[in-house]
Amino acid sequence: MRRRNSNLVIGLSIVGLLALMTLVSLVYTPHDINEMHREHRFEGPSARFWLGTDNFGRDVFSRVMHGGRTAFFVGSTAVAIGLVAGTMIGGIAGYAGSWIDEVFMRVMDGLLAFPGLIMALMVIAIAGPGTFNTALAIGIMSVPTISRIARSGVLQFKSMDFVQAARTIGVRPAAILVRHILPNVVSSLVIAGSVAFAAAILSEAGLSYLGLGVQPPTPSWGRMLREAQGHFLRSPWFTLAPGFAITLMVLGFYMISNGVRDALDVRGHHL
Amino acid sequence: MSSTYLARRIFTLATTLIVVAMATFLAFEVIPGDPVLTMLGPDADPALIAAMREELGTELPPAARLARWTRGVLTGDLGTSIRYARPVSALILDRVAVSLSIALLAMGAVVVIAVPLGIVLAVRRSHWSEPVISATIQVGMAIPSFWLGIILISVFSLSLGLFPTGGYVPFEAGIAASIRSVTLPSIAIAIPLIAVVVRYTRNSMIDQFSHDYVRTAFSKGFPVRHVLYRHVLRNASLPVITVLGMIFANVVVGTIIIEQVFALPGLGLLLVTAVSARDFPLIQGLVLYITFFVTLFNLLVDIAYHVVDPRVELT
Amino acid sequence: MSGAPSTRVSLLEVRDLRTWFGPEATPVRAVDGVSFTLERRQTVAIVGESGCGKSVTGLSLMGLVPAGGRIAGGAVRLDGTDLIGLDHGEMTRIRGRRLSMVFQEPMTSLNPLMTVGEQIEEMLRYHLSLSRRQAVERSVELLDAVGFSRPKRLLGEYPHRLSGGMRQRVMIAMALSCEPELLIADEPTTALDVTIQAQVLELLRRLAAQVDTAVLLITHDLAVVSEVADHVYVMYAGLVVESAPTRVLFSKPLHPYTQGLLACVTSISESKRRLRPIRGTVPPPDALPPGCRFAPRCPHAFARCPSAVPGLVEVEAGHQVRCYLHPGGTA
Repeated sequence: MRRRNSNLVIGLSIVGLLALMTLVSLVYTPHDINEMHREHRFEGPSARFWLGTDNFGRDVFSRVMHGGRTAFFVGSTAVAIGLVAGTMIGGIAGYAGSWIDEVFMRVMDGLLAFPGLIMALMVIAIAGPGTFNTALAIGIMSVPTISRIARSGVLQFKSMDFVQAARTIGVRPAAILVRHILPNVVSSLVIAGSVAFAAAILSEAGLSYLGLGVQPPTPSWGRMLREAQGHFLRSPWFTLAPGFAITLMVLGFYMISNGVRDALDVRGHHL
Repeated sequence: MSSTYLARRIFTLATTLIVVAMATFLAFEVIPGDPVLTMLGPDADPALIAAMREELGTELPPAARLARWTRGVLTGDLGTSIRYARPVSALILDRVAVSLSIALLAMGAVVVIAVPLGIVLAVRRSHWSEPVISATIQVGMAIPSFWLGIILISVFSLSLGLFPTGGYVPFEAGIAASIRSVTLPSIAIAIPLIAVVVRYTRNSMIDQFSHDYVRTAFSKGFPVRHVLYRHVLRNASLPVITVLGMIFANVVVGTIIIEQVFALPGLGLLLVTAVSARDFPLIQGLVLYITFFVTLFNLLVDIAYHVVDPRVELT
Repeated sequence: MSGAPSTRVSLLEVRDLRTWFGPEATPVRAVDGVSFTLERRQTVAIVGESGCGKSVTGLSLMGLVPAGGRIAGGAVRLDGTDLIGLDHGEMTRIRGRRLSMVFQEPMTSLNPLMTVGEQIEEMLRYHLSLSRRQAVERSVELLDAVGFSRPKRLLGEYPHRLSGGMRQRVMIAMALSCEPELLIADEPTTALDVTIQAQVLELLRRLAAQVDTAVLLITHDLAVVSEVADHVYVMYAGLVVESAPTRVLFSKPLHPYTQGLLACVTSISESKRRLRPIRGTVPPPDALPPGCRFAPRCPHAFARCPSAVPGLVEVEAGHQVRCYLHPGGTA
């Protein structure tokens, strides 16, 4: 039975479009992001300012485009940190076993008890605000989940390895790893990675909204919302645009993770 | 419920809290440079610096500091805030009612709205509504709650004047006014989480429909209503209980940010101020306090799960 | 229901039952025109390999056709009333009370979060309007009847603490609790340990007889049938291919499929050397062969077999067969 995986298709399209917008912002934005058109404050969308202007008369669309850079940077850095640290910790714990495993996993349980943003706030309190520290803080948040996935993959491999060695049918452990375990682990990691990416976008926006994340003049969607607060009735576009951008990006990554999950389900039924 | 189970769970709770306490302690041990200078700035009054060193015990060896911190935590003494120059526990106690009422109201809204909605959407399923529901839920989950808060405050407070634009009315000043002052923030936090819980409830119900015991219940001659509410619901509630436990951490995080939107003087606003001011004792105390609440809530959820599901004992 | 025995109406009369799955245009015919009759206090068996449509037949009688399926035609008359024409509420009043069912999967058929007591009592209270106390008393009696030594304690137990055999006995107690006119037992012992299969089956038959309940036994196991059934219907690919009183069927099987099934049974008991399973498998209902559906597996197939589905003909009183080898019968 063939079924279109609409979640995956739509999710990838959304993220793709946002990525394209961000890439374009590297070479071109309709206006300079910091240029203040003092006579055009709080304007609605027009041919000149596609999404209107903000309280300083800056072009909202250009700033939203530029904000994509922050979002993608923080998201991918955070996921990269989570993936590297998580797979290492999970891998070591699963491979070493015994008390090392026990201690590592207990610590991960402890970390899991921290609500994500609290952990991020702690890191920022220590390391100070800023784009990279925000990414670092958010990356740490995803370590417990990812280390669990990595650990279960290693444990699976160990048990398989054991069984195969006992039977000595001549299948190399490496082949089992590549053919049977890696695909499972990788798809789980893709799901966890997309969810972590979505969470990173939300956390970055939240932290920047609180004034503890990305610092001015770097535009970030959360930061824009902080500046827009209180001006909604005067100029709704200024508030709506960055919020939509955050929602779209998060939605895109959620849909990708659900799409991958759907795809795995379908395969499961066929096996 | 077996007492061994309870004992085991409380033991896990204790170890988690120890890890949490150690982590909060260690986190502030690794601060590069002199924490006192970091906090007060290099130009601070030397007398003040000396007093602070005494207060924080920075001159003590790490082990002694850990002992001091642990002793303090166990006796409820979380140290003194630098910015406010008041005991951390007193500051927390002053503000906990604000955050707690937002969190409880939000949690209540999630349970009261999302669970029945999830059930209805599971029972009344149709081909055409499937993608609509799925899309709505995914979009709902993706909306940042503070953005919702900004829009809600603009529309319902500034424009329509139905709710206060911010600030907290204490319980003693009138229950209705108090609830009104935290209604919008609670709604803002609740909406994305309602999407999450609707999805879980619905999927869980649909998943249960295909189980053999449902067919047995129908074969026993019960009407749909009875099968649904007496048989399916109890089984479907298990994953929902679990997700409600997970959601609580999101509610807490949501509270921290939403307090800023509505200028509500709760723990979240206190924490944000503490982080901006690098008031380490206050941050440590708040983190520990909040995490303790989350962990405790998870324990309660675990116990609730255990009460509903007699099989847990064996696993 | 009262006074029914004075008439000549059979307890259950199934006529040309068709249960189809999938799209309207190209339906998958899981049950494709099955007819049989069951008299009061009788035990009748439907026998066939898995996938022949016998379970779907049982579920169709209960009005519990799995999702995606529908009853496309035919009649199911319980004591003269056609169940297929009934609306949902009317069917609900018949299920459990006049018509009940024991399923194949004892491990999953009970609600895991309700105690044994709750699951039996809810039936007594709902259908017979017993008080709580009466329901508890009756449940204890029922559990005692299905052979539990400490029925009172069992009331508070959850299913996961019981073995498969125990659960199936609970199912039987539940199914018979309202003394229904007909009990449908779908492979009631298949999932159980071989050592207790006979015991559970014997229990089922004895208790059913005590409360004057007729039993429709659905099974793939002819050995089981010989002990308990009065009459046997052999099903293959959605059709009844042979029908006879049990003794007749065992002594004089006419359909090659029945002969094949019997060969499996007897060869196992006689010697391993003669184990002769029927080659091949039941064709799935969405890929039926033309003509006689058994022809591709039949050792006696000849030119005429694939031409059209043979009719069910009566070769002697009460013995019918659907096979070109027996074209005329007594007619």
